[in-house]
Formats: sequence, C-alpha cells, structure tokens
Amino acid sequence: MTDPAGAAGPEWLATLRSRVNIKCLHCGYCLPVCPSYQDTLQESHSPRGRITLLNEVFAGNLPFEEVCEFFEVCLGCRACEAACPKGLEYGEILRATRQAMRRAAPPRGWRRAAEAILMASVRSPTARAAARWGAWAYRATGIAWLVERSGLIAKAPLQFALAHAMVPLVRAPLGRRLPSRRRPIGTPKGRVALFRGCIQDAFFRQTNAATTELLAQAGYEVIVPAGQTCCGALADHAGDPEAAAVLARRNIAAFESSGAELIVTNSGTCGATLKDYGALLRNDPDWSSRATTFQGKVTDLYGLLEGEAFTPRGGLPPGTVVTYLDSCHLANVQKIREQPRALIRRIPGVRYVELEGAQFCCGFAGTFWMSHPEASLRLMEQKVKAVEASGASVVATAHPGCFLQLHAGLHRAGLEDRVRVVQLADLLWDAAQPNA
Amino acid sequence: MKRDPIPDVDPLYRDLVAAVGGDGTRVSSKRAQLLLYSRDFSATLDKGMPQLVVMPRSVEEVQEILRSAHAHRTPVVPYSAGLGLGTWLPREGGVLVDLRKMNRLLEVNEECLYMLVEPGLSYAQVSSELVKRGLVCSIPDAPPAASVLANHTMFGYGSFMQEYGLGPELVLGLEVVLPGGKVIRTGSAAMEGSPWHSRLVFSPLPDLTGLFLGACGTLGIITKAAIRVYPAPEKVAYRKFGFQDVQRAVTAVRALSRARTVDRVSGFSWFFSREAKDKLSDRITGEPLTMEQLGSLRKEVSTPEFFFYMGVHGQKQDVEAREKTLVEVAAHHEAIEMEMTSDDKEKYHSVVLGKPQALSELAILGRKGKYEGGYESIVSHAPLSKWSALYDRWNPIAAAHGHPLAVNTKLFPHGRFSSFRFIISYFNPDDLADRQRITAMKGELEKATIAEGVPLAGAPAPVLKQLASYPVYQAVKQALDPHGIMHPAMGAWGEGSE
Repeated sequence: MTDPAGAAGPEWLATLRSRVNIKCLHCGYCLPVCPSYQDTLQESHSPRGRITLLNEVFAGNLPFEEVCEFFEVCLGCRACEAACPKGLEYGEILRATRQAMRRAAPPRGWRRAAEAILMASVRSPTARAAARWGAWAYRATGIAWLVERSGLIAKAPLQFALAHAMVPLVRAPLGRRLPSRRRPIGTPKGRVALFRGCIQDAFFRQTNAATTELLAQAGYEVIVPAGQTCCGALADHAGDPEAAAVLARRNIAAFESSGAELIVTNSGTCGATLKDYGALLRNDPDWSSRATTFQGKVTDLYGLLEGEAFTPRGGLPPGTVVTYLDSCHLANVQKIREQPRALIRRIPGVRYVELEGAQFCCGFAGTFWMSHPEASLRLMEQKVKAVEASGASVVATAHPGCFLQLHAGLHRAGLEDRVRVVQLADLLWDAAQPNA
Repeated sequence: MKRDPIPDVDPLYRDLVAAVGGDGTRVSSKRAQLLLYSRDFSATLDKGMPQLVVMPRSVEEVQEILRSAHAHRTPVVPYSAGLGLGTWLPREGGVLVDLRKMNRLLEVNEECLYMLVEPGLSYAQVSSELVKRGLVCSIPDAPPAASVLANHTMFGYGSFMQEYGLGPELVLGLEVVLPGGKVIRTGSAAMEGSPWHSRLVFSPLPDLTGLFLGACGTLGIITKAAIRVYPAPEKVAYRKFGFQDVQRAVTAVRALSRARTVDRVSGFSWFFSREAKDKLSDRITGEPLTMEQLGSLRKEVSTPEFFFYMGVHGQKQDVEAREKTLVEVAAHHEAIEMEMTSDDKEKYHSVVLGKPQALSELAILGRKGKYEGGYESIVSHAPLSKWSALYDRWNPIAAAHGHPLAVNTKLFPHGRFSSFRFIISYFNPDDLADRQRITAMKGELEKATIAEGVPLAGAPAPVLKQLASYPVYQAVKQALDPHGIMHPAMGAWGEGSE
C-alpha cells in the first residue's frame, strides 16, 4: 500500500509524478469527447476527473489505489488530447499511470493467466492461425448457428455474447498467402514494407492482400518482411512497457533489412504504436536511435494513398451510400481524419454521408470490450443507431477492432443484411477493379 | 474549513440512497469522489469539499434530496458542469447535488421559439439539435461542456447579449424545487397545460422567474428552464475595426449601436490583438510567459489601442445595406479597418450560427505552451461613458502586479451599457504564490471598479450587504429556506474565510 502522507511515496509513484504533466485547466473541453464520461456522466470517469485525482495523490490527499479504478475504465481513445486547450498529453498520463498501477499491484491469478495467453496469441503465428481456423470453423460448421438458437447466448457472460457476435466471416482460412514481395504496377515510386498486424493477420488476411495490391497499383514495390510480430499496443496499454519493448525490437530488426523507404500499416492503433517506438525505447541506448529511424518511416495506408491522389478505377454501384467510422488512434493520435473520407468520396458511384459521432469511440478499445462489456455494449449500440440514422448501406473502418465491434453491433441489431461493414482497404480494392 | 465525509451509516446517507433508489452508486462519500468537487475553473483560495455527493435523475429525486437535507439541516450545493469561477464550491461541506444526469432537451417549441432544458444539458448536446431545426441559441464564452441552464440563469456571457440581452433576459420560465421539497413553476407554464412562452402573465404576481435568476442556488434548485431560441440568420457579415484610443471607440460604437446598424459588437484591448500575439510568438519559444516578457510587450504607436468586431445579421438585402452603412460610419469616426483572418471568420460564424466555440484564443496560446492555464475575471456592467475611467483605473493596478492590461467588452442592445471585463489569465493556477498575487490584484481591481460607481457581477458579500435591497433578499431567503441549507457559503463569499 502507498503511504499517501509520505514525502515521495514508493519509487513507482515518484516515477509517475516525474513523468506526467498534470497541470489541468479544469476547462472541461475533454468532457463531451470522452466516451467513458459520456457513458456514465461521472466526473471520475473523465480525463479532467482522473487528472484532478492524480493531483490529489501527488499532494498526499489520496492513496494511489483509490484512483486506479478510474484509469481502468478509460478506453484510451485519446480524443481528449485533441480537445485539450493545454495540449496535455493524456496518452502519456494514461500510459505512465497504468505502468504505476501494474507496479503497485501486479496482475495475479486468472488475470495473469488470461493476459499471458492473450500476449502469446498475438505474438505467435501459430496461435493466429489457430484463431483464424477456429473463427472459420465456428461459422462454417454451424456451431455459431447452434449457439444462437440454443439460447446459450442469453445465459452466457456478456463477453461471450460479444465475442460470438464479433467472430468475423473468415472467407478462406487457407486464404491467399501474402507474397513476400509484390512488384509495382506502372512507374515505380519506391519500396514500402507492409506491417501485417496481429488481428489483421489472424482474421483479415484479405485486407492485407488488398493493401498490398492497392500499394502496387499506386506504384510501390511492396515487401512483407518475415519475422515481424504484434506492434505491442496491447502490452503497452496494459502498462507493460517491457513486454511492448520486446515486440518493438523484433519489429525494428525485421524491417531494417527490408530496404523500404516507408513502413505501411492499415490499422490505426498499430500505426500509432509503431510511431511511438522512439518513446518506448528511449532509455535503451542500443535501440533508441534505431527506434527513432523506424518510427520516422511509419505511415498510414490511407494517408499515403490520399497523398498519391489514388482513385479507384472501377467504382461501386451508382448511389451506394457509404459512411466512415474513425479509428480513434488514427484520428486522435495520427491525426488522419480527412484522408480516408477523401478516398471514399473519390470512389465512382459513391454518395458519402458523414456518420454522426464518427470520432467517438465504438467501445472495442483493445481489451476494453472484455474487461468492461456492459459499457462497451452501450457504446456499440450508440454507434449502431448512428449508422442506421445515416442511411448508409456500407460503413468503412480503418481498424480491425472497429470492424469487429460494428460487425457485432449490426449482428445483434439484426441489421447485418442491410448494412455492410468493411475495412476501407477492402472497399477501395473492390472499387479498384475495372469492372466493379 | 474541512469536514469529514458523511459515512454510509449516517441517517442522511441512507435517506439519500432511498431518495435516488438503485444500488447507491449515485450517492457517494468516498474521498476520491468528494475531492473531485473541491476545485473548479477559478484560482480562488477559498475552497471546500462536500461531505457527500448525490446525482439525481429526476425532479422527484431532487425533491426527496432536499426534503432529506432540510430534515437533517445539512447544507446543499447544486452543481452542473464544474466550470464556475468559485460560485459552486461547497465551502460549507454538506451535500453536493450533481445535476449532470438530468441532461434532457425536453422540448424545442418552434412556434413560441423556446427550448426547455434540464440543468445537466450541455451546449455540446443542444446546439446540433437546434441547428437541425434552423434555430440558434446563445453560445457562451465557455467550453462546450458548459450547462445551458446554468449559463443562462447565472449571468454567463453569451453570443446573444448584444442583440437580445444578458442570459437571464432570455429565460422565459423556470421549474424550481424549493428547499422544503415543493416544486413550483414560474412564468406562463405555471398554469397546467400552458407553454413556456412568457414570464409575466399572472398579475399581480411579480416576475418570480427573476427571483431565482442569479440566486446561485440559495433559494432552491432549478430543474427546468425555458430559454429563448431564434431563427438562424440568413446572412452574416462582419468587420473588424481598430481605434487609437478608448474614447474614440466609445463615440463610434455608440453611434452604430443606436442607429441599429450593427447587431453584435465585441471589443478588446491591444493585448488580445493579432499584433500582440505576433509579438508573443516572436519572443516566446514554447516556455510559459514570464512576467518580465509580458511587461516588456509594448504596442507600436501607430497600432490601435482598442479593437472591435462588428457584426450584421439577418435577411440578405438588409445585411448588405447595413454593412455598407457600417463601413461608412466607422470611417467617419476614424476607425481603422483591420483584416480578419480565416480563424477570426470561422469563429465568428460558429458563434453566430449557434455552434459551441472551438478553442478560445487563450486555449490556442495554451497549446503552444505559452499559457499556464489560469483564468479569472473582473466583470463590470458599465455604461460606455465609464470605459475610459475604468481603463485608467485598471491600468496602474495591472502594471503593479505584472499583468498585461487585458480588457474585453460586449455591448448590450443598442449600447445601453456593456460588460467591460478584465481578463486575468497570465498566472499559474498550480502555484500558490501566483494565486495569492492574482487574488490580491483581483481585490484591488474590484475596489477600483466599485469606487468608479460601476456594479460588478459576482460582487463579494461585503459589497452586497451594503445594498439597501439586500434585506429584501434576506427576507425572501428566510421565508423559503428558514434553516439556511441552500448554498449557505454564498452569503459569506469574499468575507475572508479560507
């Protein structure tokens, strides 16, 4: 336990205090954009409230343990950063606090086991393949149908119900393997390396394949380096920078030899994490400069394509109404908001409509949907209502988590036949076919 | 004075749990929850912490809460978004009634042009609903999280004050839970079935709506307010002018306002000008400003002393004609027309068309690391003839405390009078010595303003108690709240308690 009256408190608390800038203005600009606050309307669930409480901890008025629960319910969407007049780096506050939480109370028992399994799964290609086959079999063999009709969903924990609704349609588990190298179409513009990502690689290989083809069509030679692994977002968000750093080093080493000028990702969160490797490894003298070089090459697919004035050659059926759901980490951290919309608008035949609250988190948020399923469900349902109100028949996303959450929401609302969720790379690739 | 939290075995705690029902998550005396309500937007040194927080969802729950607090003789402080400047701090402990969960837009009456709101409804929620209907409401000089009800009933400054008057003048009726738990409605809706279209309909009843406006929760808790809305203007035009001195500005602004040439006039001293910002940008490299740096900022002789945005809104043809007149009259009064940046234009459009403000100028400075985050203000309600005198009185006080002369103003309809404000923004709210410095400066500015015969919004209690009308307020307070449970600290605000 902490000694709140102690001059410095434990070492991890002193570290936290030294790392974060918590000079909050108390202006409340963060309140309307914060999903956990909007869900509960509790001050303690807002960035402003959490920062106020950290100040009280540092002032010795409150034990650190009493503020932890409020940082646990944060989705980490970082919408507050974009709204904050002081420019407070809430992401850093959250990261440092979660690291302190982990130091104060390391995970034990079932939580530790669950975390270990999850981390091993995202790292291991075999585990990802197993997940892919499992998801395919769950739907293809009729297990999902049986589960749905058995009434099991209603009796099972909400996490199971959500996972059931999320299980995506893995079209072909053996699927197209990504080539290790794809030649450019037309005049070569340079060489890029594709970051596959763990969820994309497990469930959305077609999205990575589409990404490769889009890049080739835009004139890039695409390398898919072997040895790459998960970006480390899950570990980093869980307050485990050491585990994240292990993954970061593997990725840096894997990409260094590719000779690529850019490292391209099609996942908002992966991109945000990869672009932060410099900070993650800043205290590692052997890796910090390599990390900085690496992160300088990371670019988001949609930002890149939009900058290249990429326009799909085919199109979609005339009058197709498409909307777009922001990926929090693409919009709030990487600041890529307009580019995906611009790409959609360029698709022949598309009528783009803006989704109300498009920048508000959908509730997936890494492991948040597992740890706080009720709150996640409420956010998901809000999003589904907004999609329905938009009149769109297609919703594009820029992150596999957003896809899964929206897919689940539409499934639960019985709207999956009326509204199709797609990852934007897939939509662009479909539209790029000449006879689409 | 600090008081211990009210424990969950206390009868009041149990009564409040019973009042709001459920599992008790809406009643809390956990220290972490209480500390959240111990500070606000201000730099005030005179703070406090509630002993218990309760979050009602309905009028009935507010009634039960007040009945319980009344029975237990416990102070009650209403609270909405936490953006007050010292007003809502629970200095006497007690029960803090956080009204955020009462956040519905109950009605938008397009025939009688009002909206009916609950206290927790924010501008972020309401503006898009109105825009969909081609309507606008008064947007405050406050972040989008601000409560619409609190802003209008507590003299918050809004974008309509130049055209239609101060926030309370836009309130058409209220629902109030009195300290004993009784609910009343004021204005036309006091009669069952009537819409909330007007304030004064039941003579000889006086304007009871006005009784609760600006009362800071000392007479009850407002649970609904009917607030005027207006059709969005078809066209918006605006110009920016500079004047070499305050007196010339007064003459021009008065002429334009009286002739109904302009709908909105807002002005500011040189320190808030683009030129001053450019100077700040030249000198500062990401570090918060030092007092020496601020003190060394000087305007060029040729640069205007005071600036105004002047807006014309309405039907297209009318706007075009009045805009032409505006330019001519301004030139006649030696106004220097200034270029408006795209940021200026965007901000002006947003405010006039009813969208909550994006980041304020201070906020933008904050993002660049040039602003520590402090905010306080002296708000005087002054006729235009007092501007020069106030300017002259405030200038040496600001200089003595190392703060720039940072004044802005908004005119009320036809230039009858104005809010003339000193914005105290350059201090570090986390630094006790800096807060003490600012508190001292604020006190001197208040005294100088009162000495000039100009009323202050949010005047401290010693000033209020000298007013001949104060005993009337006391008598009303005694009748409605005999045990003095409603926000008792407001009666002693500014009397030196710390």
